[in-house]
Amino acid sequence: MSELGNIEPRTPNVERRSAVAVLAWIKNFFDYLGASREEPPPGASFLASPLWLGIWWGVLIGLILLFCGQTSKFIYIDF
Amino acid sequence: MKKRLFIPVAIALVILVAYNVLIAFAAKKTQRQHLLNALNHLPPSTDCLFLGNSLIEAGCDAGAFESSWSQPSSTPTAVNLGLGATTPVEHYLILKRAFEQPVHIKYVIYGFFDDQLNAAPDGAWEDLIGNRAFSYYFPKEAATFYTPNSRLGEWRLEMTERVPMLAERSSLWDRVELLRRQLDEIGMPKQKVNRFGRVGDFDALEAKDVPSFVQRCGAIVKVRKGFSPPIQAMIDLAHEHGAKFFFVEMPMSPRHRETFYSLPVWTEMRAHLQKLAQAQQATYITASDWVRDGANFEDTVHLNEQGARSFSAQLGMALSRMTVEKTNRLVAARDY
Repeated sequence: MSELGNIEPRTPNVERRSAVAVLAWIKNFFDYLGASREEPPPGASFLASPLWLGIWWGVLIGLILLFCGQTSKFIYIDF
Repeated sequence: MKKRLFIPVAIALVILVAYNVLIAFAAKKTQRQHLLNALNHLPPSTDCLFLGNSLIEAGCDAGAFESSWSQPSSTPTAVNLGLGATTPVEHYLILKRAFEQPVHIKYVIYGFFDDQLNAAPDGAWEDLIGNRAFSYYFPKEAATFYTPNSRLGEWRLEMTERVPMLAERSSLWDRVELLRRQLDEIGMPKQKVNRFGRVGDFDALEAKDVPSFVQRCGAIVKVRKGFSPPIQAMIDLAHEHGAKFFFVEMPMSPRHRETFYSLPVWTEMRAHLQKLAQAQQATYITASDWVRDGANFEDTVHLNEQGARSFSAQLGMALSRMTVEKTNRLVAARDY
């Protein structure tokens, strides 16, 4: 019995394995968003829904339009 | 399958429409929209207009101009319609709108610098941002200068004008640029800014160096190039409405005058411009050295408030003297 009572202390290996799993999930999540993976990662099936896709495309188009002016010469700024 | 494609496309379109609405709202607060609003509500007593880019916007103080008029009974009511970062095409559109209002304008005072009066109008996609989006408000008229005799060019401006995220695209880019500048300055010394932008950026408005200035002005003088089409159109418009047109060589900082205006090519250029103005029954006023102290400028080209007051008072005195002299000459000729 440890000082923590019934809670089993985690070994470094278990922590590493779960961290790797989380990182792999995040990687798969972004891979799917970036269209380099066919299937969404487990637990993120909402990413495949048409509703989410529409929002995602709209937000992306909006962000592109918002930030695509950086090559313009902004001498005057309309404060 | 159709549903899977249709729903996302429809949602993306809804977001785009929302983006357009957001831009349309953001654009309502811009200087060009404020100016358009001011144009539509010009005081009926207005009889004198200041017209031009930020040199006029910053440099003309209507109050100081009016109070320095030598004959109080004939003091004009002046309105400053200067708009920063614009070209003669936008100035023509502003003037045309002003003449459509129920006012009787007697004097149009147009401020300029360097080769602004002869430069060809440029209205490419990348040029019409910021206050130059004013051109999109009147696409047909603007197209006659940018793409003369081209139905396609006119159509392009008309179509762009209907979509806020295209016509007013820079309304939100300004905000992004300000954010970018704030991020740039983290941990760095703050850059000096004034009401128009970063002070250092305005060096870019001057010619790159003396050879390029000589080359630009020399080419105009050599071929005896006339006024650019929008400048000519402004003069014609003023004369059609019985207004007198004044060209004012705007006050320049000591550095600009010493570097560029002391060159022989500028003396030739000025003589050429004066001849052109005379041929068009317009008056040319050389005011580039009226404000000699560099402390009266807020950057390389713009007058500060104190400089604007001093310049406008001198301009008011000069114009009132000219009109009195002309009236006296007319009276003398009639009596004779």
